Amino acid sequence: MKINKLLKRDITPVRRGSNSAFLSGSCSVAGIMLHVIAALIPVIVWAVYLFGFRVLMVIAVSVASAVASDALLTLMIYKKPLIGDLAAVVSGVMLALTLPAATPLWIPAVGGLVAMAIKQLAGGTGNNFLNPALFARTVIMLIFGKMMIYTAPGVSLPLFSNVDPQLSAGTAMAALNAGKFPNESVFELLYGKCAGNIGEISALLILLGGAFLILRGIISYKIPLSFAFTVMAITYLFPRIDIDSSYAIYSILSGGVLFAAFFMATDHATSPCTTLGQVLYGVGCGGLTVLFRYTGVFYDGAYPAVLIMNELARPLDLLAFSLNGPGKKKKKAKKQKEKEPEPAETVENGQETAENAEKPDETSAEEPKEIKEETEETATDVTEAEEITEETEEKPENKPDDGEGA
Amino acid sequence: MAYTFSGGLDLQRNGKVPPKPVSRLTELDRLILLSPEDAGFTPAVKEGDEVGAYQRVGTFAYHGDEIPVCTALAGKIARIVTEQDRVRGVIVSPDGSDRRAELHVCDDPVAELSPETVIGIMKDAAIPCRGSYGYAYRRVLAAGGGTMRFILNCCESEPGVFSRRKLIDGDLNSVIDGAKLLMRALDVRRCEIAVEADEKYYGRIVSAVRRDPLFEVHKMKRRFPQDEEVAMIYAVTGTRLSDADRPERSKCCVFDAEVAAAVYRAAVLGIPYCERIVSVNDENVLCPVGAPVSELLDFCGITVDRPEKIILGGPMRGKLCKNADDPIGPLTDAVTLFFPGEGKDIPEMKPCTHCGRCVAVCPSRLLPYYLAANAKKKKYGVCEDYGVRACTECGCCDYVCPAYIPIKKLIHTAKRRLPEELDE
Repeated sequence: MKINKLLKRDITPVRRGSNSAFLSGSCSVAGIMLHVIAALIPVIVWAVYLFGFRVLMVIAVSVASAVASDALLTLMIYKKPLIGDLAAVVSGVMLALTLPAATPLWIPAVGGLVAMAIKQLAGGTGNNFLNPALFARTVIMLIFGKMMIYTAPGVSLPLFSNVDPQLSAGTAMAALNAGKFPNESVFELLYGKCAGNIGEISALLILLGGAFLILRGIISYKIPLSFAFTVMAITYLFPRIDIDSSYAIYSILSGGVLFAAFFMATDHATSPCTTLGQVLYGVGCGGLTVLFRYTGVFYDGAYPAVLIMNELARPLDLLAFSLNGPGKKKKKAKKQKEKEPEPAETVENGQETAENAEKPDETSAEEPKEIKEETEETATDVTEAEEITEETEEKPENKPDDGEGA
Repeated sequence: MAYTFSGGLDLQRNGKVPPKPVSRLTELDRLILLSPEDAGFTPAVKEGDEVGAYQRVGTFAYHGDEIPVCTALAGKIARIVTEQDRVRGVIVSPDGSDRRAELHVCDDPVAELSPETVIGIMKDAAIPCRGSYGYAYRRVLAAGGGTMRFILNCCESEPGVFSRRKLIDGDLNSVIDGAKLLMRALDVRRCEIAVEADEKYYGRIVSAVRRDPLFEVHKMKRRFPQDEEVAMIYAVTGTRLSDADRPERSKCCVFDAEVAAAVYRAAVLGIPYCERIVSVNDENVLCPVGAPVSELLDFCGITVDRPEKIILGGPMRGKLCKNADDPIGPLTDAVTLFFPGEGKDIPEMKPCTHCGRCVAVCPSRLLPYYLAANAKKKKYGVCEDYGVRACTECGCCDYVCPAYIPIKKLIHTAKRRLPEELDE
């Protein structure tokens, strides 16, 4: 594969059928995936420096398992495997980077299989409604969570055999979860000298990789920015433990917030494309992250938060379009509003009434009171999420109308 | 500061305007004058009749109006074309003489013309315009009265297309006088000229209208497709056009420079719209409407067999020309050629990864990936709900798609399957 050509973007005339543009200037799907891998290289190199070559072993097992299962599963459902687009490779790398270096090596192997299984079951590349790597990680954490061992940087790890549980060290995230002040300084967390999952060690290198992707136009800056900003804002306004004002800084640098924001939440297939959708998605991810961390069962809230927001990606796009776009829905809704002030059946009106109805109810919702007070943004987001589910539920009703229009 | 719009592409290939002057194509074997596909043609001549240049050879019905068809060259009617028992048009074989039909010249000074007179002139000259209205006079009528902003589009953002800039280069005065006539037709007191930040053309237009309080010149950023109505209106006025509110409701009216020049020619010289500048590689030819593509290419020194693909229009918005004998249409601004060895084959289509590039570049702020997916599943009703009518088919989504999905083609199919809009 000519890597140079894949990474390059120049305008080339292309031969297409009628009614198409005859110029093309985009890198291919494989090119996009290569960009993502390239952006992760600094993170991986730093992890190898800290934890030794076992890091590469974890990544290799994960990638091999993902690629093999992808090929196998596509063949099983009589499809042509698309190994060439590197999506399975990226999923494998991503999965490995959300695991600690001291993981038993069979875990990433199982993870790769789980990731590709969910992806192929959901319809293959682009049709998956949740990020395969994140899904696999969450499954692994739920089943084998206790086998995850975090080791302090600099401890030499065996290349193949399992790591002695005696070596385990606490992470900054665990300390924060326990309501304690982390051992690492902010500076150490920033450049990365702490225990943790392979991909989340160095905040600076994650930012570097993210900046590369943003500058190359692969991902949008809106998701990571709104995600990180929401986490910062909520933890600054409502710190769980009163350790001066640095709690917000600690909570964004520890755990997987930055890695999830730049690499997981921006996964193309499972994130919105519209500006408004992206902002809402990022805010939702951030809000849920803090919620999970404060009251949830998960060790780190960032990954499950993204996983849950994944399902809302497409509905958020459609919501953003109907609120903001030049569609006909808006016109219909407007007309109906003019005619009758009563709540009409259109999607938009339905949402609005839902919004109005839910606002006074906010305090009496199922969630605990503390969180309600703490996270205004999250609260609005949850209502948004509910709106969207309403929209998706209403859809089947609208479809027959659409069919008639065709 | 240059104005611009959201979305669009930066196509660097849109290079320098070729310095060669516009040449005029007059020697032709035949001129194919056809009505649009679904309109019936009423010939005003018989086979074997002698016609003069600019003479009306027939009319066709378009939304209840009679649109005249005129020949650009004098000659003899060779044949009346029928397709499936329906008259479609005529073929003129030009004889090279300079016979001219009698032309009706408007004697009144421009400032005293009533809007109705100008609209009548535009109708008789059959001046076309891009967009759903088809003809400039219908666009003016649809705009109606009221406070309107009139934008004269002098931008040209498609790579390899130079005809508008060539027109401005050679005939700026008629463009400006035509804009004054259009102001009369629209009954507005002001014309905003939008021109790309190209030092040469911007400077020329600014110096041409400097003393005229009727004109205001806006500098636009070079970006494709700046010359689309949606992009233009957003860039100049900040109004986001949508499918629901048509241009007339946004109180804006955009006309291309060609329309202005054609109105001037029709009003002052009496010449109907039957010639236009077409860019072919680095040649720019003043070509009679209806000239077969093969003869135009011959004139430019290109043998018809050599190019592998002939595209009527620019490389982004053009349509594939299947038959080299197809005529140049009234809105064909360029002929783009692919020679053998030039151009890549497009790789196999992959599933959409929802990368969002098409959403980011869409000047109409649509969700092209969603429209394409629904068009593929033949759910045209959903496409309609999600504003497929607002698509201008600029091709930006095709250009950026990393999965090589023919988005524009799918959307085009969806648009064709929609029922005609009632208020049209």
